Amino acid sequence: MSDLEIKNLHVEIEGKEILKGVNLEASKGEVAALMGPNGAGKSSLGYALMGHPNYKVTAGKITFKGEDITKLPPNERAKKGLFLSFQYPSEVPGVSMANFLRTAINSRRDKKPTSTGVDGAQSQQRNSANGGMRNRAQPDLRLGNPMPVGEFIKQLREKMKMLKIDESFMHRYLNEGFSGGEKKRAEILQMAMLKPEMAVLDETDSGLDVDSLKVVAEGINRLLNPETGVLLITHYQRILDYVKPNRVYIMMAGKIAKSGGAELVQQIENKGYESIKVKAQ
Amino acid sequence: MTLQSTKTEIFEDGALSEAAVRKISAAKKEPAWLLQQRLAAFEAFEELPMPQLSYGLHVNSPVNIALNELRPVENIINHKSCSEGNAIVEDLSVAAIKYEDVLRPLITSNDFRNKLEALHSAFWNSGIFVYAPKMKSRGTAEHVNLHLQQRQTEIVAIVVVAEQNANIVVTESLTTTAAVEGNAYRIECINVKAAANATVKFATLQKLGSNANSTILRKALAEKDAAIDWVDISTGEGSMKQETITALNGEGANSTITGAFFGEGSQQLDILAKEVHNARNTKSNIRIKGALQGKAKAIVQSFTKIMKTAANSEGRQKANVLLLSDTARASPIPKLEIDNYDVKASHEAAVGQLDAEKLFYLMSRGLTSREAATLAVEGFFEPLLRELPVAELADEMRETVHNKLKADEEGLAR
Ligand SMILES: Nc1ncnc2c1ncn2[C@@H]1O[C@H](COP(=O)(O)OP(=O)(O)O)[C@@H](O)[C@H]1O
Ligand SMILES: [Mg+2]
Repeated sequence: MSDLEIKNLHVEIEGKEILKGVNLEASKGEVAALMGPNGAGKSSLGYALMGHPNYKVTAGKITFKGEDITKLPPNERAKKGLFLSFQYPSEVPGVSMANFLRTAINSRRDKKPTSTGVDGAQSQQRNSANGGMRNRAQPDLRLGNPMPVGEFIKQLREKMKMLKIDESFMHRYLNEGFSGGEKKRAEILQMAMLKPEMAVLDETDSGLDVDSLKVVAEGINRLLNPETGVLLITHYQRILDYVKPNRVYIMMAGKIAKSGGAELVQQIENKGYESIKVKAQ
Repeated sequence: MTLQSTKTEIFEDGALSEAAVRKISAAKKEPAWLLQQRLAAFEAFEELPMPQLSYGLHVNSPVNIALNELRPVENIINHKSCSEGNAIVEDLSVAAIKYEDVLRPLITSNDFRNKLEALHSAFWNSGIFVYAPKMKSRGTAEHVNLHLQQRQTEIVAIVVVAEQNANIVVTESLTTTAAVEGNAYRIECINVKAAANATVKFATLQKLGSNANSTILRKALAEKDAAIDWVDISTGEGSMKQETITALNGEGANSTITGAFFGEGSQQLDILAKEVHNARNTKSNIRIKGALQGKAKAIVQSFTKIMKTAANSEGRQKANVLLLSDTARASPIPKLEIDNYDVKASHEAAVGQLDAEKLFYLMSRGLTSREAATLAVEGFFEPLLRELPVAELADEMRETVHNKLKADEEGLAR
């Protein structure tokens, strides 16, 4: 069983059906690629996965780590470890990137019902076993407590360095006035800070020059680990030269027209999406 | 320094009569010229009409008060003020003797626009004079803080005079004491004069409680190369009418009006910000941001007037109101009146709601709908607060906005 399973998903927006029975699976520790021509419905799938209120699921379901999340609000999905890097991230004036990320991180640490009780008692025990050495730092690092500012800034600096984002961006308003490429890097920065288990990256490669693409791709590769998987949405194979997919899905007109291994990418490159359409019929 | 509280007998008869005018003036031991001014104002008061509200959204401005409920009966000067350096803070009635040459031309006026202004001039019962004497050159700013606590209906006069090269920051914070009984009403007039090359920042932090409606009229006159910056943070819970009007009378003078407000419940806010350019090379900038939840209503008029005599001037204005509920209402009314071609002017006014796409974006990172909305509203104010001419007040606004959003249970989670 895969961590993320999309079964027969039908989605409509403003009464118009856009996804017409999508089946797709992705797992932690893996890269699944979702390719397809413009207008195929890739972004719509991303929105539906994240729970955008305008994208109405009329049939089918989404399960994540075995749990049906089809009806959950976006923030609950995020707390379960789902992340969406937007094709067109919103600009949020007046909210600095640092302020926003801290709010987001603390919001996720909040309200984990088991964390304060059970976890707290356990860490108490561990501490005394350790001779109380880490007694002071420990409680703050637990879920259920806000991340200390110093720790937060340290992590943020580290990740910004990795993604070659200038430190001044910390205090800039979220995405406001960012270039297309800067927005995409900022999305990956958010992913790096929030440490999701499944990240849907929607056209993270578009609008990037070759150097930026390398930085972003390297960033994604560094974030991939047994606890983190990626669903990479793209309509070029370019980024797939750097981030190697385990599975490839081709979406056409709201359906998965074909799926397979990395070799599909080459086929698309050589023959275009038209070749798929013929076979699918 | 701290100004002592003085208090006189309560007049048994609180009616708005000539006798009451004389009693107030006598109790304050005012000079004859000031009594004459009060009496002239009283005469005008009896004849003038109430100010009309015939524009835009219908707001029951607190101007529509029942005058017979007004009791200008007590002489309250209840404020703590502190200033270091040269600035002087005095009881206005006392200052009227000591600084007659400065105050008489400023206070003597027969030019009342309406009944309320005349009423104020006749019956003010608390008066403060802030005086920044002439300096050889413009130095660092001196700060005067006025903590004014409202206990009941008050009619307050504040006069600020900054002589040549003086540099002064006056911050008044208006609060109500727990002891307020029934409905208190506040009529406050602030009169600022900045002489040549002087700088005045005047900031009002209005945090009056729900039982205190207010009318606050702020007027300023800027002479050659003088600068006047008005700041207004209105987070009080009562209804309010507020006018801020600067006359840029001297060449090279400039002025800004920066306002932020937050209205809720059934509050009604009526705000006017006006910059009048009378001289060459003058500059002005009006920026107002406000948010309304519940059934609050606001009229925001911004008015830039550039006279024929004001060549090479520049006037900007921008007003934005954010509606946080379906029942809140706002009408921003931008107005430009320009009689000279050799000027730059711009205006912008908008009423909006929180952007659903932005909220989804924030929620996709794990913020609840409330957290997302709170962050977006705070973000709405932040650019204005970061540039607040009196930076100390920015945190007050941030904190109040945060708390008010938190307190509004149903509103934002909609
Ligand atoms: N918000 C929307 N309102 C109306 N139609 C939409 C909206 N979003 C997407 N669509 C339509 O759905 C189809 C799929 O779009 P999209 O998911 O953006 O495709 P892709 O990301 O594969 O390019 C397109 O025909 C597009 O016009
Ligand atoms: Mg797309």
